[in-house]
Amino acid sequence: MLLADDAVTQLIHGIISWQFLQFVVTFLVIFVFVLTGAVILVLAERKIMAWMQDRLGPIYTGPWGLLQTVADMIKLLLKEDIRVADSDKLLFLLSPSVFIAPVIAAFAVLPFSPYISLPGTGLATGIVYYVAMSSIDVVAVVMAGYSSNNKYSLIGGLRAAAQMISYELPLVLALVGVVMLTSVLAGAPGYPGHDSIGTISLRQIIDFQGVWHKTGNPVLDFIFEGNTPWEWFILIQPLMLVIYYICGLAETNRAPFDLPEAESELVAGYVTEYSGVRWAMFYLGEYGNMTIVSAIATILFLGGWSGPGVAYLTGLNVPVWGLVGNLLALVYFIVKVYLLCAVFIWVRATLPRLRSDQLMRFAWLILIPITLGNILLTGALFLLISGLGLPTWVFLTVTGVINWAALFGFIWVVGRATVATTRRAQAPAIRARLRASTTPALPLRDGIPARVPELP
Amino acid sequence: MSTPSIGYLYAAILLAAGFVFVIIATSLANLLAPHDRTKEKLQTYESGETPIGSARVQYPLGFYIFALLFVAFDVDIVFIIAWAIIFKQLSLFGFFEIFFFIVVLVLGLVYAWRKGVTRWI
Amino acid sequence: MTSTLVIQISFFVLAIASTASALGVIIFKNAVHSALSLILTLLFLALFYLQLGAMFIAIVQILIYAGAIMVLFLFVVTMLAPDASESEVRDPLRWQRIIAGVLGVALVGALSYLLFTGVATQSIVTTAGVNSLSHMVDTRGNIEAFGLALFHGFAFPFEVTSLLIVVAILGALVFGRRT
Repeated sequence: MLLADDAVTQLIHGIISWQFLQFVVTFLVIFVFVLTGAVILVLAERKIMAWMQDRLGPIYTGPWGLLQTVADMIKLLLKEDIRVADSDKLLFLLSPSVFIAPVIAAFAVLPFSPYISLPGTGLATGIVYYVAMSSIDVVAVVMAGYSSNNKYSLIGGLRAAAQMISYELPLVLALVGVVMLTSVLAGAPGYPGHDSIGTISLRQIIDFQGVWHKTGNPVLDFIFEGNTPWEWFILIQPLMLVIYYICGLAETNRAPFDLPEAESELVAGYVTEYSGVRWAMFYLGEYGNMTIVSAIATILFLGGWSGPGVAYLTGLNVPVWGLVGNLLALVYFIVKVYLLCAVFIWVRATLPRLRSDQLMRFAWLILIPITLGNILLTGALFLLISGLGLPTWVFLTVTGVINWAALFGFIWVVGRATVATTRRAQAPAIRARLRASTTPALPLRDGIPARVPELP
Repeated sequence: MSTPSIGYLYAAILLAAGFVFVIIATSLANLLAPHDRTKEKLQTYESGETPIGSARVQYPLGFYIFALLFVAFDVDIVFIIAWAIIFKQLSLFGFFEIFFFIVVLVLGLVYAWRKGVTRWI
Repeated sequence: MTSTLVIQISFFVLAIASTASALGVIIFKNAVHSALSLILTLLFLALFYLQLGAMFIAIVQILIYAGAIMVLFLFVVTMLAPDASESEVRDPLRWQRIIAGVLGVALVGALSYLLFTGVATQSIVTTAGVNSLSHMVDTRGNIEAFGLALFHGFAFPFEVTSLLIVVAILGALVFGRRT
């Protein structure tokens, strides 16, 4: 039961146990995923944005420029690691590791496939663990900004920290709706869990979205066992997925929320003074964060690694088919994650940067009230419908319908808010123009102005 | 639940591996990269000008208020998650508990909004 | 047998590390370094919770203290002219050192009295009903037990907490507007 107890039994039963092997496999998958993820995403970002802007993007290094980011990585390793004068030496050297270590540790919660995840029951505190790890990143950002002894760095670091903490709240609150749904569904026939106790463990949330009662027909079982897209939580809580995704954009400081690194005003924000491999560490962490945000969205709303054949093959209890099923699951998972990452890039290519007056108000006045309202609405709906004695699927349908309607309401609200804040920001200029237009037009003599007025 | 907390040991190993990874990468770069420090190179970047004064300046108090609001709502989130897991079991009583909790907090948020905190820059 | 030994060893390693980082909080000249040392101390505390099997509390410790409260501290500390080293400033209130020393000795004395006589642990066990709680943790898991205890046993303190939080928000606004 105690942590050390488990560790000791592990050690006693030999380090080369099956569980430990599972951990080693997961460890390797995580590291390969983090390292290749950044390389692939940087290339994908440049290629996709080039395609969207009708450019070519990188084409010279390797076939179609595919080796561009590999070359960039080698270049970064060969760059001089400059530590500016008067910097706070300890913090300056430490902050890249403080930034990237929680990112790698946060990958521990992700189940990549039925086998490739942390051994045992995984991390039972899934969602909260992920949020806790991402909140340590804020400390690293402040450290980097403060230690660089640069005004841009300091302002960028503080702006990034304020933005990250503000958007962390709606990020978690958006996920609470899913947790409530697991509490409603737990213990229902076929569903995991018992006694109407929900879960925040990511592994179990995947199970909640793949309940299939065996029909005996092998083709149907093969396709739909553990893969039931009509049970994915995106259908019930689409608005929460959108809000979670927006907050994920802000958490990773990506466009349109990249104010902390706005080139035109802050050079590069808190990474201004970093060069070479330490700069690369920050970017590795940022792209790692991006994949984690996408992965959590995949697991909570899109069924995680579920896909045709996964549960069927791993359920056969034959090692070869189990291996095939796990590889399939890994492929499905990674494809879903990268599709969501492509949305990140798409958003970056489409939307202009927010103004600083919109940034905080959007989080505190729009996102947090909506997510809190969703929590209360889901609870009230369930109590009302179960109080009337209606079955659970009525509740799910009603919640889904209301949430889809709210999604369009949300888009409308965001549009109105953008217009309103823009009007307010432009009001001085508009008033000045109105004042200018009320001054009488110049009297004309023979089609030309009578005299040229003196410039004010 | 055979080994519920063993996962955290593995997570700690991953965290440590993150630090080790940075150390390996930076020492590799140290071997490969040139070391040629000049006074100009070590200056902080200020758009090409020689920097004036210390960078550790005072900045607006708005950041501090946001951090405090964040602490308040973070505590709130922990309670909400603990409630959401068992909300079906807690039923009506638990719902009204969390309802009043959220309403009181939202009143605090509304007050902060009317005081103009969200107009920060 | 060996497992209890390992628990004790890990406890002492943690204890020494957390005490060292706690000493760092008061020894470092730079206030930002002190704050970061405090973060380290709080992370070690989370490890203590983990060692006791309280997973949810451990993660919440990281989330609230290391993630939220320390960011607040860092904001304050980096805002208040952090370059001025403390050592160069002469302490204007000499007498408070003596009082601090006396109070510190009294605190250590009181804590060690409670620790060695076991008064504190007994009363905690009876008031919070640890027996039933530990049973709940075993059968249902960590977070569920936390939630059930909170929402069934401590409904009133829970509601008062929300008022406390709102008072904190109001206080922050009042102080923030004054300057």
